[in-house]
Amino acid sequence: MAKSPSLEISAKGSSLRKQVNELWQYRGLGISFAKRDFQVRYAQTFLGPLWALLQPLLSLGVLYLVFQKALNANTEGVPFISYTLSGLIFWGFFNFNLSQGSASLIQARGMLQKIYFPRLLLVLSKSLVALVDLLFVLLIFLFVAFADAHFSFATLAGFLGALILSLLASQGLALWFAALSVRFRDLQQLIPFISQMLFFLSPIAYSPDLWTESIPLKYQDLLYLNPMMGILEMWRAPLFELENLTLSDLPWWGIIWCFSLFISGWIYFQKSERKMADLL
Amino acid sequence: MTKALSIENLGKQYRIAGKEHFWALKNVNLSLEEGSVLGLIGANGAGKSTLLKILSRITAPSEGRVLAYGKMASLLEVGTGFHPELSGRENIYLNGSILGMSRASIRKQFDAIVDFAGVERFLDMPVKRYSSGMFVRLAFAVAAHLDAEILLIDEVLAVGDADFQKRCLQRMDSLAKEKARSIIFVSHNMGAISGLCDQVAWLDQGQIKQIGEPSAVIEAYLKGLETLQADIAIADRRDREGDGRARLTSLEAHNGEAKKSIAQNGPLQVDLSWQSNSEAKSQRIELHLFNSRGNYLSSFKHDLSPKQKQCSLKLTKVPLMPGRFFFNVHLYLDGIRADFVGRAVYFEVIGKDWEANEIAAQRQNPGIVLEANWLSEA
Repeated sequence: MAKSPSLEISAKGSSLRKQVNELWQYRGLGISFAKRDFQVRYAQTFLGPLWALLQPLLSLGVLYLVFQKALNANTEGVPFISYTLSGLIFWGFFNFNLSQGSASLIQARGMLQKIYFPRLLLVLSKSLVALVDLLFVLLIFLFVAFADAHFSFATLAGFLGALILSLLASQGLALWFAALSVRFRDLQQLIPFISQMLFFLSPIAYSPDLWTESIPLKYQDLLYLNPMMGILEMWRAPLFELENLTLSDLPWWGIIWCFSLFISGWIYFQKSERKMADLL
Repeated sequence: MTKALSIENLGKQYRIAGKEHFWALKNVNLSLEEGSVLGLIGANGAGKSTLLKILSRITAPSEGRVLAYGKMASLLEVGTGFHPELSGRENIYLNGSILGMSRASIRKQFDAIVDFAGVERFLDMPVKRYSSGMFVRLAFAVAAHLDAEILLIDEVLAVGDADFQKRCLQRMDSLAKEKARSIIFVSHNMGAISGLCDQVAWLDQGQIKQIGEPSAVIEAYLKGLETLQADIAIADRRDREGDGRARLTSLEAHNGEAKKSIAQNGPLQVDLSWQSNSEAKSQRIELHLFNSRGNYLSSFKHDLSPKQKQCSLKLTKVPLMPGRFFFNVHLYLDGIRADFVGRAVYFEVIGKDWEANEIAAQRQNPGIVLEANWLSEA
């Protein structure tokens, strides 16, 4: 009676279907990782989870001083606070995924040399934490910007679209950086800089017109190389009724770019996963 | 007998410094029956950890394959993934899921884990406040309650106090015997290996040198360790430690006539010489005497002036039982170890009557002969 083996280990990699199956099997661990991040995060702090509300409010304050008071930035006719908060919802999510996801492998190197689990989980589980943060900022937004926002089916679609795009783009970048930083530790130094640069290049506290007006029309699609461009456009258009996006008006280049970041990141990560323990 | 694990033609190649390739494992074939314990022994660098790393999927093999019939879990180090800020309770869940248990099965085993570790009162305290003993107990307790059918265990027993080690060994034994778990166990502790394993494989330079019944393989391994190192001249030994400011170049044990074999209660002389390229202010030689089993017997220390490059130790009378013995040699410059060679020189003690020699050969664990008289009235 020959039982069939439940696991085969060999030099060959596993198929996409097997990878996804395995991720599903290990979903409990992904949740455990996210839970750990939450529990550890506010351990021994005085204010505890209140920080999740305080942090976005504090950065909003600083942005107000700089972009509104000092620079008098254009916000497409929407009140500055509402406009900026709507951007911070997704920037916070994007940035958390990018910076925490990129660092996750190096941080867990002790574990990587001792125990097997799909390494993807370390990066992917950061999204659960980021998602909870996003909900906090969304809550603030609903309180503060209720009067300025327009709620419709299109707004909901825009929100979900932007959420999916920012998930794909930030996870895609994080997968690339996490896998690369195992080989090139220099990236650890570079990532905070990239995140800061991306913040200033993204139309979070100012209108994207700043960029579109200063770049010739035929190169404008290049702006979508910054994933936040497409994400914010999709979300704000219905939210503030800035423009009526039809299917053909969607930032398709941005969408394609976000998808390709994720797919390529996944493939590269899986390819290097097998060598990680030898390099760490 | 059902097969639990089969390793077929497994090999792992590493690249050193971009150019050289070397096989850490090559042509390894092994199989593990359900409910049995396989011990892995071998010198450092023989490939034991590489094999475990492949089996636990931390690193991928370069060739060959492994087939596992059942869930496999590895305990390369207890306490991996524990987070100091989390409480004992939270860590049990976190560590359990890292080790591949579902939340439901952790919940089911929770009381048993806490009971085994003996940390009921501290369950809600962050583990960073645990004593190291409590930490290790909790970590092993989680590991000992894994629901995997195949367990890979590496030197887990190197931690904890003697009493706890005993409980760990008992737990492993009962996992195999009562719950039909299959275990691969790597250790340098020959006592634990021979006590627990049904079968032992000896890895040597990435290949399996011998596999079979524990006592036979352990005996052959210890013997091999001797001849391997005894045959290499000390100047050519690569497996040395110390910072390298000095190197022992020759070392010989003799009794004036014969080399390496001396008479019981006869004299023994050890001649040493070394090179050093450092301006040390002081030198010290230490010789440590062991029997062939690796049991420590005695030490000899000698301080020298910095210019000396050779010395001899003379024992006028060697009251050792018949059998084989060896010295480890340490050379210290300014109190810091510059060179160390383990099992640097062997010698054989021959008794006067053949019977004693025969017993010694069988016992393989010779000791010291102390002069004594029985006092008893007729």
